Amino acid sequence: MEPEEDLASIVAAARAGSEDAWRRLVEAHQKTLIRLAWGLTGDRHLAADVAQETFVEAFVRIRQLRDDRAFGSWLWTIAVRTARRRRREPALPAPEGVDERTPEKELAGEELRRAADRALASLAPLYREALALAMDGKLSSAEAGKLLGCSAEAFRVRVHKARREVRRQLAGFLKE
Amino acid sequence: MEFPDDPQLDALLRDAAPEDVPAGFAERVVAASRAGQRASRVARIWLASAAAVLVLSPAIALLLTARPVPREASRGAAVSVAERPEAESFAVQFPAAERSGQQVMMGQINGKLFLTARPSREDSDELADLPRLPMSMAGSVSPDEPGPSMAVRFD
Repeated sequence: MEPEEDLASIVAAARAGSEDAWRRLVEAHQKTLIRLAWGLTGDRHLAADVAQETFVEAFVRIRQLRDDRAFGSWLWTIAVRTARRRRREPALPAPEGVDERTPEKELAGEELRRAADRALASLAPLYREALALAMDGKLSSAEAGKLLGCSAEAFRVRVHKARREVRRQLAGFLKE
Repeated sequence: MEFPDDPQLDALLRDAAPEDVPAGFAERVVAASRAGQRASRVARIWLASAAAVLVLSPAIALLLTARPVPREASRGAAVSVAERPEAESFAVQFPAAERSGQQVMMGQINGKLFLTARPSREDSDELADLPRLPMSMAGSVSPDEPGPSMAVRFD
């Protein structure tokens, strides 16, 4: 997205009620947020819902944001909380036609996607959250640890254990 | 302790991650954000109203039921109410003495005493006889006394 100063001014405009500024923030973060939500839930059908709820909560609470330049990490914090809440709710059947793909893509990646979904879903939430934030790579270990309520060292341990387990489950897709 | 990165696994997971943003996602988010903000405003107004009602209702009820004390219980010395209030929360009014032109009231809400003094209505417009402000006020509710007592001292 734009440099930090631009981001801060767009966030300030969104806080002042500019719908256009809010739309720009959504468009700038939607893809990475959906990816993060997938990592947090291990459910690609739930990911867009979690991302949407995260954006809505962020918009409602945007006056509480202290540092406009920290909008991204603040959004990620809300996403983690939203994903935790959604995981506690009973799972809904996957909607049809949401993930439209071409036949070629289906053949090439469907097996991997399913295996990755299974691997992520099999992780305990604290390991899955750590891996999702590590994959995203926007936060340092200290920032991610703070977000998850643990130390930077504990965060790295969680990521390591999560990677080891996912690597084991996806061994067939990895080249030695 | 250092843990090595696993770029190969991370790349594989990136390949497996959702690639596309659902069509019309940003529009849906903006519309839902607007609706969420409206709902939040309504909820805040409702909560503030409910809180105001909760806070003010006992005070208004007490003021409406405040009982006057006989006028001979004069100010300038301790005054008391002969009857102990039945409720833990109460308000009693000590009518102003003629010289002071003050109305004083004492009450208790949720275990906290309050004391007030204000110019009595009939005197407040009289420039020639301005009400005198109390120098000090003290009130108490004692199990040894029949009712709440209050001392008001004027200069």
